[in-house]
Amino acid sequence: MIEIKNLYKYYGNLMAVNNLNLYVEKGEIFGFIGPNGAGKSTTIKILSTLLNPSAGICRINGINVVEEPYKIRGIMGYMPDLFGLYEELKVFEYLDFFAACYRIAYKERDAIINDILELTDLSIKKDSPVGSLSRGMKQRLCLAKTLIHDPLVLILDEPASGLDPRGRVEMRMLLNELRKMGKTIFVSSHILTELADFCTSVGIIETGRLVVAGKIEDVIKSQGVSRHIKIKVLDKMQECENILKSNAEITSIDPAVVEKIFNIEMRADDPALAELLKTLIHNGIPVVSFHDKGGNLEDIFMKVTKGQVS
Amino acid sequence: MIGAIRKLAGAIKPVIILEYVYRRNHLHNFSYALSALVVCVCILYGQWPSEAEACSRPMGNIFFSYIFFFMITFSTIIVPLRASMIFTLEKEKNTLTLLRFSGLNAMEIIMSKDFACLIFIAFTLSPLIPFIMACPVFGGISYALVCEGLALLTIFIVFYINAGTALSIMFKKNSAAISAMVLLLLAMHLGSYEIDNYLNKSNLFFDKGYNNKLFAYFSPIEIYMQFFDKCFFYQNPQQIKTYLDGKMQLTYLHGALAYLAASIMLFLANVKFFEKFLKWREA
Repeated sequence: MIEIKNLYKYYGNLMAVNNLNLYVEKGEIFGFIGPNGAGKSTTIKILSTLLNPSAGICRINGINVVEEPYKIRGIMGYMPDLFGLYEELKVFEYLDFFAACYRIAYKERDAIINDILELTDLSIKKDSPVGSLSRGMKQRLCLAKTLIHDPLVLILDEPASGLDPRGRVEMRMLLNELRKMGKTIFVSSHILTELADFCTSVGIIETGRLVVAGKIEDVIKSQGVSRHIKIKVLDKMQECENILKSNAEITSIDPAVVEKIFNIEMRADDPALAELLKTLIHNGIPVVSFHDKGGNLEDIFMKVTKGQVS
Repeated sequence: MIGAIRKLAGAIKPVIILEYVYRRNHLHNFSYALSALVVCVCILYGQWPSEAEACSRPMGNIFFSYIFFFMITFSTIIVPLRASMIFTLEKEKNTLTLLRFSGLNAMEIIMSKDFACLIFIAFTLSPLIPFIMACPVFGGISYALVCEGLALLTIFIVFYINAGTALSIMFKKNSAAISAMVLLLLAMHLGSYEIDNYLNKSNLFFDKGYNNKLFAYFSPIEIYMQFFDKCFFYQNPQQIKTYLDGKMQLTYLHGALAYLAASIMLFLANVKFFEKFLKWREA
């Protein structure tokens, strides 16, 4: 769906993007990660037709972003990191304006806008002025605007930046909902734990170069990063610890057992995790919860990046 | 052709609705129109012709001069200022990117914004139209001349809108675009006289026997002055023989046509370079 080939971007002598190659399949949520100044926003701006590359090819759904920008804008929804809204308008009017610009028939507009407001949980604010919305609601309204023409691809630049914890959770739920609707989502973020929760694949960029990319499981495997598992037991702490210590795949056990919780790290795939849980239960350990914290994106990020900027 | 016009109208409509319905600036727009009306009425009342004047110049002629002069002044100040903020306002509020991703192409965005500006000035000046159209009834001016004056005014309004749009695409801040517009207005109105002065001094082009204006014929001041001369003193437009072959004659109509051509070229350039320039600025 999204294809980037040998992409270069220079700002004068500064190379912001250096031979970037990337492929995102249809229906994926691709997390684009990198430190500040790594070239994330430049890549996103090129993909969203706001910037021309110095060299290389970018295609979305087979359409070249440089040659046919308006076609691309027709199939893509773009949410910039910094955006303004027409604050004097009401929420419904704001969406109606963009729906009219997309030439959605007058008769259909009401139904489409109501559906989108429901999806973004803004139905209750339909008649409120945009200026009166909270930051999280404004983010959701901007996302609602990007969905108005039912795009195939969504490109979101730091969609959760500046949001409070509740706003972040709501944004995450919304993106999960969009994934279920089959949208291809290309999202950049600094908040790695959040990306790990809903991204199907990731790409890490540093100094304009793609350092690592692929499905999250594949990346974890290829980088040999441990998985973080949290096990809560009712009692039999000592027996549990002995079983864990006897497992060769477990690389570390957090010695500070607080409230009967073990935090362990292990290099294992899903069947090995299932086997560990089975062993614990077979040995009569009363397991209350067994949680794979997953997303060791932070570990991978710290391992593959060196903290350099272009 | 009709399909293309309908498509364009369909693209312009949402921006017009946004500007004049959803933004709820009716009071602001009405106040401008009302102010224009009040100022014009005050001027007319203050300049009510004395008997002597009324004897030498027909009343309609005098009224027309005051109303038209006010319309020129008003449009020369308000239109360029408003037009030069068309896109800088969007840039300052960070809404331009969203507008570019609204399903409208560059031509539709620019045309709809220009059209919104044109509607604003037309609405603001509309209370004066009945007054100016009533002037021929009082004598001393014909409907043809009134229409010619309005056509001249429209050409300049369209030019100011297109020039303002170009500047608002180029600059990021309102203040910068407005400053550039003021410079452009000064250059347009007075700069051409200075060029002619320089050429006269250097004796490059002008034959002493002929009119010593050339570039000044493209100054709006000169164009309007010639028009007023024609209206009030029943003089034919001045003509000059240029250095080209001694045969070419320039009148204020040539100047107006030049501005019309420049407006069209500016509009096409705005459309062509809108995306390119914004991408270049982004880089």
